Amino acid sequence: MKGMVFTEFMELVDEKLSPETTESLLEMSDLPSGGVYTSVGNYDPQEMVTLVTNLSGMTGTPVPDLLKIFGRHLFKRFLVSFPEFFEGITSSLEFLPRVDGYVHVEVRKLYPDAELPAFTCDVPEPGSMTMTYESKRHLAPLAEGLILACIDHYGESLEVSSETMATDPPVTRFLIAPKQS
Amino acid sequence: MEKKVELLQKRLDRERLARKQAEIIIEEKSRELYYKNQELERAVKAENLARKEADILHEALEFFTAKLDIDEIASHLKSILMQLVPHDHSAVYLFEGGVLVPCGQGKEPDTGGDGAAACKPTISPNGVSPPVQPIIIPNASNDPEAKPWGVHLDSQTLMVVHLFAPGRVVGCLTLESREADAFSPAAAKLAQAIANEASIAFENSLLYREVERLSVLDALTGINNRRQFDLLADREFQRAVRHQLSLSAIMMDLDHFKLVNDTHGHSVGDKVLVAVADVCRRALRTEDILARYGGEEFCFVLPQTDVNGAYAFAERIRKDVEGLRFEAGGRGFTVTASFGVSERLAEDDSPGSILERSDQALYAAKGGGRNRVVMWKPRELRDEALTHAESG
Repeated sequence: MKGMVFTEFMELVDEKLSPETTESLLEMSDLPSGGVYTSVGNYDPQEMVTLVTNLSGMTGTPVPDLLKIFGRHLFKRFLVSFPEFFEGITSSLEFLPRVDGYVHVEVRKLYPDAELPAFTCDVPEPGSMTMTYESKRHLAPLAEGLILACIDHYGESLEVSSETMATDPPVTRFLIAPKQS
Repeated sequence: MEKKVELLQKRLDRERLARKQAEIIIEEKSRELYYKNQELERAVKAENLARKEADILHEALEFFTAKLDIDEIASHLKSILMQLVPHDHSAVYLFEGGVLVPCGQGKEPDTGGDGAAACKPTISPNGVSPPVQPIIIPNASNDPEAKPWGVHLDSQTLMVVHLFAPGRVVGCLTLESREADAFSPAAAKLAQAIANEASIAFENSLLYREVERLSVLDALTGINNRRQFDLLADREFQRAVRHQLSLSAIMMDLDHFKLVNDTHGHSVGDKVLVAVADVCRRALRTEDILARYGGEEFCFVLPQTDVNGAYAFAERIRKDVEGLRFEAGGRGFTVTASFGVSERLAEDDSPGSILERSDQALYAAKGGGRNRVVMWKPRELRDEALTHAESG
């Protein structure tokens, strides 16, 4: 897993909780890397699992909720770091289908060894979209957080529901549709 | 407060370690990139070289198909090779009458040695069949095999490339280098490929030259034919008129030639014609024109020569012809010739006028007993000729 994901995660804990919490989390997790991450390195994804699980234990927040928050945080980082992905895009329904065909292609150019999830989009009816997520990493809630942040970014009145399609390997389908009032 | 310091210290330590890690990763990546870049540069270089070679070859091909001048083809061939197969000296030789003759840079080989024109090279026009390979002679300055090519004293390697046109070797090409092992197999292959293209051009131009030669020359004697004579005589006549120069014409006819043919056969008659043509040719100055005018009739145009000079010239040839010795069926025989000589007069408007008068004089020479030279003279000669015609 990319070092950048770890540094972002720690920054998030610093920000939302406190630097002291981050230190206790690292101490408690006793990671092989010693918690030393650089954004250009690659680290065992198991370390992220340990960190999230331990943070959940420390805060009492369920793991999926933590991942959703992390997803929202990452989206904001993406906006700053990769503005070119968002150029000329005016809505989330326009952006999300581009993740697999364009964004991930560009990411692979920068990081040839990145392990990226697969997204397939479908439009069941105008104004809504299904997005199917497939990854070995079990990070569907993180993906949901990213989608939610995207909707917020474009100031849209859309809601996201998810459905587990398969467990091994895990497949999750998100339905993005107008909010029922 | 103490806790805060401790926390910051921990972070700082981690930050240092992370930085060190990043430095190592970046160094590794940049090393990887450097090697990849080098690889790419090598590939681009090779690609550019291949493209350059292809361009030059393409251009060479176009040039070769468009040219018929042998020296032009040879110097172009040399300049292409200079670009694609590094070397220090080169020479192109073509077979002329079974002998290799240098071409491309004048008529002399550009070697410092004895020259290959006089040498006995290791290749022959008929002895090689495709696929032909260039002959590479290392240690060229000491190898006796390289000696006939007149290699330069400082040359280390010699490559001899056959110029192979379909069916025969038209000549060869030599490349010399001051370096040992100068020519790689790839260079030899490339040189051969270029030489093959040039060979076809050489073959075409040799054929063209032959056709051109045949169209102006008499097939039996190799001197000008009538058509070519008319062309050249007209040119000389115009020049003589323009610069008010004297110009003479001689008509010559072998005496009793029909008898030679009837007695000894036509093949002997042909030999006589060839021998007489040779005698005539040897007497010429460079600007003189000689042609076979008809069966046993020859004619000359002598620029800047008055009728007396022409008379002396004809007399010399008459004696030479008389002196020729032939043999047929175990019996020796000789031939003689009669000559009519005249010069350009102010009122003449074409070389035909001079030739006509020479013909009249020739007629008089025949009438006067043959084996003689008669100079055209205005009235009395015409009367004389008339008398002979009536009596003859």
